[in-house]
Parts: sequence; C-alpha cells; structure tokens
Amino acid sequence: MSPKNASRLKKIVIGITLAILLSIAIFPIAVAITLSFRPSAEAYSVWHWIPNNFTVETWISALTLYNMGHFIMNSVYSAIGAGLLSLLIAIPPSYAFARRRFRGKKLGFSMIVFALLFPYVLLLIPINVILAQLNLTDTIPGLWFAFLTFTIPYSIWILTDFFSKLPRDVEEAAMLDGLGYFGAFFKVVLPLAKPAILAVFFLAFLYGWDDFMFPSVLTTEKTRTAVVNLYLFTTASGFTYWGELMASVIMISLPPIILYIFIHRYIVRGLAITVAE
Amino acid sequence: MAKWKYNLSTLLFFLPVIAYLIVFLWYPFLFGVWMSFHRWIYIVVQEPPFIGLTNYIELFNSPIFYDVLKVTGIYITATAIQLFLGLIAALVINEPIRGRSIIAGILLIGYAMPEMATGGVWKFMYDANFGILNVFLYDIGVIDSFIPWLTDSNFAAWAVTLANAWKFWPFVFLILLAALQGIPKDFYDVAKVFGANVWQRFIHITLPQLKTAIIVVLVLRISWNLSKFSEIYMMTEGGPGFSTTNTALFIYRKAYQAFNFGEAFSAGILLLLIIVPLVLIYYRVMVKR
Repeated sequence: MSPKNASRLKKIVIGITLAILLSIAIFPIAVAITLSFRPSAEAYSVWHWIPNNFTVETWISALTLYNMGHFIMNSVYSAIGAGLLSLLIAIPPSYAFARRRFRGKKLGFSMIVFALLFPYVLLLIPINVILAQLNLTDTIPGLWFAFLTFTIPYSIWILTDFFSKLPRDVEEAAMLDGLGYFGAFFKVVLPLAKPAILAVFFLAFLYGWDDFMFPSVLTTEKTRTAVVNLYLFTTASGFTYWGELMASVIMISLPPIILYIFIHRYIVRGLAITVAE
Repeated sequence: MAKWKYNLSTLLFFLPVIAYLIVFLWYPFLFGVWMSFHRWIYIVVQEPPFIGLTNYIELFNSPIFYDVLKVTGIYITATAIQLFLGLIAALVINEPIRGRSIIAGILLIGYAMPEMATGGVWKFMYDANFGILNVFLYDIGVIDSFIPWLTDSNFAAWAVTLANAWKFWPFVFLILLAALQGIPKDFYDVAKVFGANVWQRFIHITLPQLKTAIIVVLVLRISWNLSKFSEIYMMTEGGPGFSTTNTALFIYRKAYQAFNFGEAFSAGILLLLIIVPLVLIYYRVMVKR
C-alpha cells in the first residue's frame, strides 16, 4: 500500500470511529433534550424525534411546581464548598508530601490514597450518626464534610503528583530572590500548579454536584440537592413525569458542563502529569 | 533551622487533613466495624446488644445475598466496555485531527452529567411502552414485541450495567488521553526512522507507556463500579425484587429501607474484602513505582 493510500485509509478509519463514538455520546442526551421541549402528554405516544408542538412548559413547571431553582441553589452551595474546602485542606499536605522530608511519608500517603478505593456506602451510616451528634444533618456544611471524605483523598492524590513533578529550582530561585518560603509558595508554586488546582476543584465540584447517596439521607427539603430531587418525578406506581424529568435533567446537567467547557484544557493537563510515568 | 522546628512545621501542613480524616473517615469506619457486631435496628437505639458474628451468618444464610453478589458481578463487567471505548477514543483523539478539543469535549458531556440525570434518561430509553430502545429494536426486526427491560429480571441487571458503562467510559478516555499526551513525541519519531508501522508503534511504544495508566484506571473503575448505586436507584430502586441490587445498593437498602444498620455494615465489610485485592494491585502500581 502506498503511503498516500495508507494515510487516506487512516483518515477514513478515524472518521468512522469518531462518528460512532460521537453518536454513542450524544444519543441519550439528544433524547433528553427533545423530550423536554414537548408538552407532557406527548412523551406518552409513539416515539418521534421532532416534537409536534414545541413548548417550554415542562421547564416552567419543573421550576415553579417542583421548585427546582431552590434545589439547584443548594447544589451550587454544596458543590462550590466541596471544591474550595478540598483545595484548602488538600494543598498543604500534598505540598509537604512532595517537598518535605519526614518519617512515615510513604505510609501516610498510602493511607490517604487507599481511601480512594473505599466503598463509600460504608461511611454513610456512621457519618449520618456523627453529623446528627454534631447537629449538622440537613445543613450545607454537613454535606461538605460528607463529600470531603472522598474529595480530599482524590485531591491529595492528584496534587501530590503534580507538586512533586514541578522543578525544584524555580522555588529555590524564588527563595534566594528574597521571596521567602511562603512568598515562593504563593507567588511561584501555586500559579504553576494552576492546571492541577483547577482539575481538583472541578472533580470535587462534580462530586458534590452529582452525589445522591449522602444528600438523600442527610437532607430534607430545606437543603436537598437537585439530583436527589430528580427522584420525585418517578412514582412508586411506576408512573414517570418524563417531560418534567428531562427538563430537570438538562437543567442540572448544564452547570457542570459549562464549568467543564471553561476549564477543560487545564483538566487534561492537570491529569496528564499525574498519570504519566 | 533546628530539626525539631522543621518537624513541627511539617506537622502543621498535616494538622487539618489528619483531624478531618480521623473524625470523618477512620472513626466512622471503626464505628461501623463495631456496629457490624451489634444488633442495631434504627438509629435511636441507645444500647445495641452485642451479637458477635450473627449479622454475618444471617447474611450468608439469606438467598438474597447470593443474588446480590451475582448482580455485583454483572455490574462490574461494565468496566470492560468502559476500557474498550475509552482506549479507542483516547487513541483517536490523540491524532492530529481538526476540532479535536471540541470533539473531546462532546465525548465528555455524559461524564459531566450527574448519575441521577443519566439514570433518568436511560430509564426512559428502556421504558416498556414508549422507550426508544424498544422502538429501534422493533423497527429493525430484532424483537416482535416490546420488552420491559428494567422490570424483567432476565434483562434488568444487564440493562443497568449498560447504562453505567455509558456513563463512565469518558472517565477512562480522559485519564488515558492524559497519559497518551505525556508520551514524548521523539519515541514515535525514532520508531518511524527505524521503519516501525502503526501497529508496531502501538504495541511497542503506546501500550507499554500506557500500562500504568491502564492499571490505575482499571483498579479505580472496578472499585468505583463496585460501590456505585445511585444510577441504579434512579432506574429501578434495585428491583424488581433484588434483581438489580448490587452490594452497595444492598447496603443502602438494608440501612435505609429495612433500618438494619448492623447487617448493612456487615455486608459493607464483605464488600471491602472484595476490594482488598484491588488495593494491593493499586499499591504496587501507585506507591511503589
């Protein structure tokens, strides 16, 4: 096969593969979008892609009748809090793991990273009891503490690897320039770690936004997050309000998707360093 | 700087995280282990009686628990689909194609969506009366009548597994793409000079370079697929009966539907034992390298 034919063949294979992957990725989302823009009743008829009557009535009823706005705001608070607190708590130990000499470093790091594999459903019951004792059930901070059980080990894993692969000479030079230990850290190390920091924030945000397990048990209507509320659109008898459900599905999927669009190049770069040899 | 000063300042880096992990991770865990040896029904019981291994014995004597293990086994097969799609997507996107970052972004949308949301969408697609899967399979002649995928216990466990595979394959893609971008370009240039073709370059450069990332991603995905349940909960609540209840959902249902915290936790300890081999692999790859 001539090189020209080979490269054309390669292009065709890549094109077909991409088309298949893209349809797999988009198909369910397209179903949700088209279902959300038709009258409620139209979901219970023979399947058709284009709505017979285009309307946003299910969006409006999700927002008014089902008060999704309130629950989405709860999600915003709990996810942003989870992201920021993860960074605040995870950055110092990660930096210390990467840079400082001390005994038990390997053991400490293992204990933290193993927590990543922990079946979190195990923690649900005890954390429920502890938060009840601290009077923190049905509060947003209570949710933060629950989410952090997962997001902190995850964050330390990514950040430690990132910090240890940053060249040391940069901060040593900064320290020699008179910036001092903290000056070097805040003015040199942190800006260099921006990709990893954004990746960690995004993943922690996503966890807080997506998690059903903790808020389903730890909250009532007051602080319930939006994903838990999705459950209201299906009933025990098996009847589901498809239109309202799909409108809410898209509504609560948009914030993480938009956040992702803004910072995705940092995420791949932040993770690249972690998983590369 | 004096040695004690250095050590003290190192400790300061760790104080918040240690305090947090003790209160919210290690104490809860030990608390739960203790709970698994007690009859603890509902949260308000003051002095739960010690019952030794009774919770564990009851678990092994109940036929439901074996169904749950079977569902758990089916559910983690999603990992294979995730690895397959994720690897192919990462290899293709790593090629110099036009609009690759947009395409990568679209492939990742499903991963950025909450599990409860994708669970809702799949619930519709599987619907017995209006679901698009039935419509499609009927139209191309594979089935003669609509199948209630989520309420027929022959199909339900596989149906929720497929939904999980779809939800999380982009995670594998994301990690493997990141790993691919970390492979130095010169490796390929040198191989080309020596006349290695596409396949040889894949086998001798790409795969060995990806090895760590693949193992990490497999271990993480298997252990996470073992402990995921919210997407299933949205689609079936674990039913009909227990036919879509994996171990994680079993623990949740035992605790918050049957309010038998002691037995729920003993199932949790068993789940943890399943995960131990994964922890060992993970340790070899991540910490020892």
